[in-house]
Amino acid sequence: MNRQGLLPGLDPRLKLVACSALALAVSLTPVRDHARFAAYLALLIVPVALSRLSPLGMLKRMLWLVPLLAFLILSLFLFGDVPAPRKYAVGGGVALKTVLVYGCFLMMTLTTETIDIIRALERLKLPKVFTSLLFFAVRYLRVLSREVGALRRAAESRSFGKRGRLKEIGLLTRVMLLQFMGSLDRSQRIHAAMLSRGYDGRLGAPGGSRLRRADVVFGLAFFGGLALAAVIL
Amino acid sequence: MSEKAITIEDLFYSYPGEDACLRGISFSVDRGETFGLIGPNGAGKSTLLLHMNGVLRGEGRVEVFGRPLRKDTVRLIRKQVGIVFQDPNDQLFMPTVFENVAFGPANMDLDRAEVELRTGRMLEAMGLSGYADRSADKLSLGEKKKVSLASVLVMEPDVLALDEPTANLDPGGRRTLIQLLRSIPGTKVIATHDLDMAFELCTRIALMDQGTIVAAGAAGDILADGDLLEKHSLEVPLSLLIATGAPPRTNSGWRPGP
Repeated sequence: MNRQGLLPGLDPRLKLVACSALALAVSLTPVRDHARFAAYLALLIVPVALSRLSPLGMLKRMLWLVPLLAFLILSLFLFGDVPAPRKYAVGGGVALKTVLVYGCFLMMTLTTETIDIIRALERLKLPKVFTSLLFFAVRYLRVLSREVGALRRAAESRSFGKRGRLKEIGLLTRVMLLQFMGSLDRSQRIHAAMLSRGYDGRLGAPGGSRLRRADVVFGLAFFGGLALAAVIL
Repeated sequence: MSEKAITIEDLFYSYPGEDACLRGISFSVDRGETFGLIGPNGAGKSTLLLHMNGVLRGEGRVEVFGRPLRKDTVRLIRKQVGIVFQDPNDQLFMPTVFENVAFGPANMDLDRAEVELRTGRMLEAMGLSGYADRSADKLSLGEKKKVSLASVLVMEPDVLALDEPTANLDPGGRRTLIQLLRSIPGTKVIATHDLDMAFELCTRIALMDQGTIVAAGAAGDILADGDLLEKHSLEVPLSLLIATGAPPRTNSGWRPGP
C-alpha cells in the first residue's frame, strides 16, 4: 500500500463516499458528454498525482480489464441489434466508464488499508453482519493463502520437480479444498480469541470519528469539482 | 474480593457431536498463585481454559473472584481473565502489531487517546516499540508470542491464562518467555506440556487426562511422581531430575545407533 502523499492520510469514509459519488456520476453521464468525462478524469488524476501513485503501476493493475472489456465489446458486435457506428459509441462508452470507475476504486484500495475500508463501512452504518463477514473473509484469505503456500511447498519438496502444470493445478485445488474444510476449526479459534478480548461484533479499534482539516479541504475541492462537472458543464 | 481467583465446580462440557470433553472438573486457583494444568494431548486443558472467561460455557459452576460466570457478568469477567492462545496466528488477526495490541482496549469502551496510550506503553514494556507498524504476519514465532502476550496484558487482566506458551519456541525464545512470565505479577494459569517450565513457574499443578483431573497438588510432588506422569503419557521434567540427582527413566528401549 502507498503511504505517502494526500490520499493515505485522508479519512477512509471520505474516500469511500467520494469514490462512490464519482462512480455514480460516471455511470449516469451519457457517453457523448466528453467535457464531463474529461472533468471526471481530472478528478481522478489530480488525487493520483498528489498521492504519488505510479500511473504505470495503476495501468498494470488495470490490465485484467482488457479481456473483460474485449468480451463485452465483442458480444455487442456479435449479438447487438444496433447500427455499427452506434456500436462503437456504446462500446467506447462502456470501456471508458469501466476504466474510470475501476480506476477510482483502485486509487482508494491502493491508498487505504483493507481493515480501514471495513471500518469506514461500519462507521457509514452498513449492517454489522456485512462488515463482520467482510472482516473475517479478508482475515481468512490471508491465513488461507499462507497455509496453502506452506502445503504447496511441502508437496513440492516430495515431488522432485516432476509434476506438470496440470498436475500442479490439480494439487493446488485439492490443497485449497482441504484448507476450506479445515477452515471451520480455524475460524472458531480466531473467533474465540476475539471474544476473549471483549469483541462484541463491533470493530472498535483505533481511528478517529471526526473529519480533520485536510479531509474537509479535500472534500470541498472534490465534491465542488464533481458538482461543477455534473451540473454546470 | 474473594481470595480465590478462579473456582470451578463440577464442570461438564462436550463439543457438538462429540463425546464429553470435560467430565466433572473441580478445582480452584488462589489469588496471586501460578497454577499449572498439565496432561497429554486431548486431555481438555485448552477447553478448560476457554471456560475461564466464558468463551465456552459448559454445565457447572465457574466463578472469577467470587463472581459467577453468567450472561450478565461475562463482559466483566472477560476483562478480568485474559487468555493467550496456543497458536499466535489465531490471536493476531489484525494487520499491524499496534492494532493487534490495541484490539482489546478498543473493546473496553476506552477513548481513542487512552487506547493509544495503553498500547504504546505496553509495546514499550515488552520491548516491541519498533514493531508497531509491522505486519503481524511477518514476525517470527517468538515475536508473535510476545505480541500475543502483549495483546492480552494491555487489558490489565487480574488472571492471565496461557495455553502452551512455550510451544514451538527455540530455547532462547523459550527462556525469554519464561523470564517474562516470571516478571508478570498476578494470578496465572498455565496449560502446558512443558513440565520443566511448569516446575520452574508453578506453585500448584493439576494433572488432567480424558477430561478429568486425575491428580492435583504442590508442583514438586506431582512432577516428581514418575509413575503417575508415565501413566498419563508424561515424564518427570529433566530440571527436577537434575535438581534431585535421580537418573532419567528410559522404558522405550530405544538407543541411538548403530
